[in-house]
Amino acid sequence: MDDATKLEQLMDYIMKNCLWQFNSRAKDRRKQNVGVLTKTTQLLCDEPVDNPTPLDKCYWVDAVCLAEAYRERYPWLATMDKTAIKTLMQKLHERLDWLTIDGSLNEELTVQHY
Amino acid sequence: MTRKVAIYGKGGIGKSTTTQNTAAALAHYHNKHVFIHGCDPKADSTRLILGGKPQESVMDTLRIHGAEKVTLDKVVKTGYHDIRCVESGGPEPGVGCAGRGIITAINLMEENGAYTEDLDFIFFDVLGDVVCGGFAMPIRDGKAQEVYIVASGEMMAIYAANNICKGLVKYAKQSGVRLGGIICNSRNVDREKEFLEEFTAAIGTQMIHFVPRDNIVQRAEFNKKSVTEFDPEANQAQEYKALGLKIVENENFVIPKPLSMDELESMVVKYGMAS
Amino acid sequence: MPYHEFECSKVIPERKQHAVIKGAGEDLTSCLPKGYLNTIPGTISERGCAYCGAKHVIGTPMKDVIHISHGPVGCTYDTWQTKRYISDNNNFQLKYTFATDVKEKHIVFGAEKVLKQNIIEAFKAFPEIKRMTIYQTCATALIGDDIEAVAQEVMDEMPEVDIFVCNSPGFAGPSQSGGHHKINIAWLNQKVGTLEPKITSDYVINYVGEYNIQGDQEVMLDYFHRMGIQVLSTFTGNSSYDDLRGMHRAHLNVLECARSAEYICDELRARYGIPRLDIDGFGFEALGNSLKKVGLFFGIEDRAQAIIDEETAKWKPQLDWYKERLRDKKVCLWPGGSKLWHWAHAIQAEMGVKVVSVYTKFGHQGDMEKGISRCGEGALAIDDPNELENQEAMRMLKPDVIFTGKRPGEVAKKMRVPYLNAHAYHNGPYKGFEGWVRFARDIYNAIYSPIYQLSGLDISKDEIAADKGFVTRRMLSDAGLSDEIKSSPILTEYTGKYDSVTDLRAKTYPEFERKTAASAAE
Repeated sequence: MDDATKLEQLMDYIMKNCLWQFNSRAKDRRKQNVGVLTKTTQLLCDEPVDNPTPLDKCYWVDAVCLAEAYRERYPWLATMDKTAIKTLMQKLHERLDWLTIDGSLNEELTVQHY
Repeated sequence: MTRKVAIYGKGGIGKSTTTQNTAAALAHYHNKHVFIHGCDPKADSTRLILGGKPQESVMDTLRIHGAEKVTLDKVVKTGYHDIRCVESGGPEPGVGCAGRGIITAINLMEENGAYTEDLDFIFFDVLGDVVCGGFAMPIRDGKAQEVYIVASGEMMAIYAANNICKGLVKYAKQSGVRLGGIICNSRNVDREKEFLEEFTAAIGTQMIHFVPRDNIVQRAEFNKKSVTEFDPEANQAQEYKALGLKIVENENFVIPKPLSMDELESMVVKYGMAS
Repeated sequence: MPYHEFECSKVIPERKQHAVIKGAGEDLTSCLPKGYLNTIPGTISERGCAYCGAKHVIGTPMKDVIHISHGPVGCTYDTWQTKRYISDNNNFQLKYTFATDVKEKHIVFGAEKVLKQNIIEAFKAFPEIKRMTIYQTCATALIGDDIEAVAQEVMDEMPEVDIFVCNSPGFAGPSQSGGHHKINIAWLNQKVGTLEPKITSDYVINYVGEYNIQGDQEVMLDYFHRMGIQVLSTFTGNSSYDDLRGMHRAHLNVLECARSAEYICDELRARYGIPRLDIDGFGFEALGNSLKKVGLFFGIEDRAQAIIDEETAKWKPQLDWYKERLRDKKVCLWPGGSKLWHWAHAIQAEMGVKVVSVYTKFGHQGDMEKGISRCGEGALAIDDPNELENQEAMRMLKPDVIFTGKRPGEVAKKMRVPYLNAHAYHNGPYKGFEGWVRFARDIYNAIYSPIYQLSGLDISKDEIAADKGFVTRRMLSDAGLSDEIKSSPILTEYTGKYDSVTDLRAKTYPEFERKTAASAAE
């Protein structure tokens, strides 16, 4: 399976099942994407995850569910080494930022107030 | 602590001129941070401070871009002595609802955090009379706490001042707003000072300052400047400096006791202007 | 952009940007209609106004409150609770509605006196109710009535009462969504932090954006209580006014309907540092994940898992009974705002239906992003639709069922398309595991109702077969099923009671031991 297909599968799961990527403002979306995907990558690479604040913990909660779903649905993840997972997740992060923030057609993302 | 001040008075009496000249004097002579919020649909409350720079009003921005797009960088301009200015703007004469425009503009400024804590004074320069609830917005809860009425010795100016006091009484109870005094913007009518002094005493307030008539005000206006900026040495600049100081030091805040029509008529007769 | 232009809207060219068909390879950077814009002249919108959004949707589900509209009487009638936002105090807020009945003379002379008189009369008429919300309307907003000041005056005179003022006149936004925003922020600014709640658990949440439609909130509360979680307040379904004043003390905001209540969550996050966790109470998988996430946040995910296991074992076979019979049925998912994304994926994955169209009456582009992400290729997405467009879409897509509001729903019925009420439900609650089965049951009942066979016949010209008997739902639904499924000993129809909510109110929950003060402080 090539990287593009893998990326598509990972993205499809997020888009169909998750809500954390769709905060209403761009500034929050960026924080959410970094928060959840960084922790998901750490979990997938069996690295320790540090949650010093309640907000971190909230990202971690979504990351745990995402990592579990990925492992369950995509057995090919188990065959990848950590560097490859990190590269893939980095690409996923860039793609998600593009879809939900930088390439988004949503004109409300930059409204200053909630 | 920011002092929030609303300036009322009969149309054409010189509210905007007085507000801007006083604001300039407060900034120049007394080192105060000042914000002027023009609440007149004509949007002419800030040109002397901004040197005639065109200012997009809050209502223009709202009309063109929508309420969410009203941001401080779009509508707040900084002029002479870092005085910050915003104009509510409003509809063309004869259409829409100017009062609602004022309510909306003030709400939007508050939502955007325009009235920062470093300010010493915020002036709400309000159109003419308190004709409806919208024009009372600046003196409602949490907004202006003190009011100055600009008047002259002309009969209609006194009528208007008395009427504004009626509006004030109502809001004094609800929001705690108080009258700080009446500013006489002289029209050089006979016995003007005495009349104003008797009237202010009768309604329980003070004539806080008598601003003499001086053509330098108009000359400065032609040059798109306040008197203080135009010629800080001029006598008239000293008058606004004095008015500014009196406002800074003012402790005479009252709920006015407006006169009845009969009382007002007899006072007008006494000063011979009815004849 | 794969815009879809309706034949009926060709005369309104701007409408074209408000509908898209998701094609192969399309994503959010190429396929998103405009949204939350002022309604275009010529298109008869199905939207409500900002006053309705504030009062009808968000404000009035609060249960122990006199809800009074300051304006002409019609505003009140048309936002009277017809939406089945029930409550456990005998539905006080559904039964009574209040208005100041503003008339010409009040507009000219000011309506503050009549407001004050009404406030006092209402409190006297219902002495057991000590809380009130006042909703401004267009008329009283224009004349600049200082409602806050009147409310303060009454509170000074009657210290036992508390009043919330919502300044959201009908014109304050393109649709009811503007009112959602206004009341969120107003509640936060005026009332949150004015009362300190009693904390009884180590795990404290607000449940936000949940309105207890036919008992949804009570079902979810049951799960939270079984996990030992204290739900400080629900914003706002079945919630008490005073509970909502203590929102600032929660450890976590669990957000259900982001469309109507994300504003207060985002501000609570910014001002008080309370995290916002978005959840889905609809669908076994989404709901299970949601409970698990809340559990994980507090380190009690085992309690969540126990509920998920128990409920799934009980209800999954019943859900599957319907899934077998709903497979590939075409659905138009046409709700107001949030349900388009709450349901889009879950009904396809768990009930086997196919979502052929989503729409939103008052949603924002953010809602469409979620909705379009969650439905498949070929789906038609419409923003702020009108009735003619709906009819055209139904003729084009030939759906088997429509989930929408009661007004467009009645139009669908006339076109012989079954409809389910997406706002107030048919036989809810639809949240929770059992609720999801109830939803599947309602869909089944709608699609296979024999009435649609009969109503399709025109007795003035069609030939009526005299030799055929009555065709039941079951005969229709099971026609193409295998014997194995038809006679499965595992799969069964819904076995729950007609009323699945009332019993919950009497339920008691186990006491969970609290951590010591020392360990809690860590």
